[in-house]
Amino acid sequence: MSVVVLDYGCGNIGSFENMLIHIGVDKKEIRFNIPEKLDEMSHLILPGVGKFDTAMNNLRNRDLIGRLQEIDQKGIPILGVCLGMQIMGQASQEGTLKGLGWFDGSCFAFNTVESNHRSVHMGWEYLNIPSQTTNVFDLEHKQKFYFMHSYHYKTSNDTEISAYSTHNEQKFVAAISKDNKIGVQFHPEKSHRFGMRLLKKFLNLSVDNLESCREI
Amino acid sequence: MSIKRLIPILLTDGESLIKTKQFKNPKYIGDPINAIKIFNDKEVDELALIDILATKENRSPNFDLIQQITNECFMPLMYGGGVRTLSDFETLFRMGVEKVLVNRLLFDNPKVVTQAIDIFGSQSIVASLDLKKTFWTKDLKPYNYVKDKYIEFNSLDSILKFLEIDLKVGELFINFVDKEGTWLGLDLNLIQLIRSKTKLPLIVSGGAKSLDDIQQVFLNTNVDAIGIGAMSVYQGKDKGVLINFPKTENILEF
Repeated sequence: MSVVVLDYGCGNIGSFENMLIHIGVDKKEIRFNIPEKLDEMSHLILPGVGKFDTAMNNLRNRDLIGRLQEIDQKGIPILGVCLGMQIMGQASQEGTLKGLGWFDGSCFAFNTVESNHRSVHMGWEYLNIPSQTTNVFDLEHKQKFYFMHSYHYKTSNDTEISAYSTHNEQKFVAAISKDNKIGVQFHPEKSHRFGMRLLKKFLNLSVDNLESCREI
Repeated sequence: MSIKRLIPILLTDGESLIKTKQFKNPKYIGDPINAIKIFNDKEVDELALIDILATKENRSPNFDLIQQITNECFMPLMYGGGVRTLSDFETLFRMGVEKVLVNRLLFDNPKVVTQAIDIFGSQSIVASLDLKKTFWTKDLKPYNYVKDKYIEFNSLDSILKFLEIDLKVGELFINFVDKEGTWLGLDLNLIQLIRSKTKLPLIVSGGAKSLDDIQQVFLNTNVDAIGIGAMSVYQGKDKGVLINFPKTENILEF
């Protein structure tokens, strides 16, 4: 096991480190940069707090985009969190740069039609899982997570969608998955036991044992 | 369904956790990191950490301690105490603090608050008011504990309007000074009074004595959250230190 929690200047990597240690990962098995030899890593977590273009620029300036593509091609399990999920798409209304292009959709601002609507979604919210998904998140237990974002992912490709949540009385995509990749709009590292359970399930994935990220 | 929030309010002197009563006589509670670990285990949804001596001692927040705490916290953290400059806000958010609480700054230099809201968004900036009843008229007024006197402003209404409409903060955190640390119960009347005067998301704190007390407030007023101080750090009224959090499953959903 060797988990890379990528430090690209966009996220509180310390929180991830602590939560990983709490669920049993050895401190020595956690690193914050991509190793020269990709054989030396088993999982990638892409955190993300801040703006879309800042994230993409930071990745570009650190020569990480090519490396991320290699990691994806190898089939190494990847978890994108919040902005880390958003950059896995095509683009975002928040910025002008292209994302990594691993998913088909893009990100948009929330509609604020009523006076009590807020442009930022901040707080705990429950997930709802579409019935046709064999999902990463366990239908039996009512799961809530902590969200903090102003942009949300939209896609015409329903097969990507693993979970929804609600804001301003509207459904929005809370989690996506495809092959070796999972994206979550919420913050598992701030969602105590729910986040820990998600991370445990993520760590159970491996290059040889993927089938689909949905079938954990 | 709206999920109501119950937030442990941890007070610090910049190093250790402490607890006051009516904002006086700070008593030592313990190590902040140990407390965070306990709250993680109790699956608390949100935590507040307030350095109540930073402004009085004219110093900055203890950023090292705060970074340790945000790394350790498995839930979102609100921090307040000694926040004075835009750089303070920036440092705190970069460290992983989710919301920053401001009190003195609202009156000393509101321009900085406005700038912070422009850059970081109103949802991350919480205005804190310490309200105390005046001796003679029993009017509720904001209290400046640093100078140990009331803040001069036209009225409670005008301050609330200032915060909601001029500054446009994201949330309001009201401390009832007279009740703080007393275990006398939350003051339903005062809470309802504040609720009627502002549309801002509202956190109230001061005097909570039991889960029942808390439920009554959620049932009878429309506050968004309740802060619990003494209940989080003591075994009970007049009892010893115990970092704890009540079981809230199913009781916070209305």
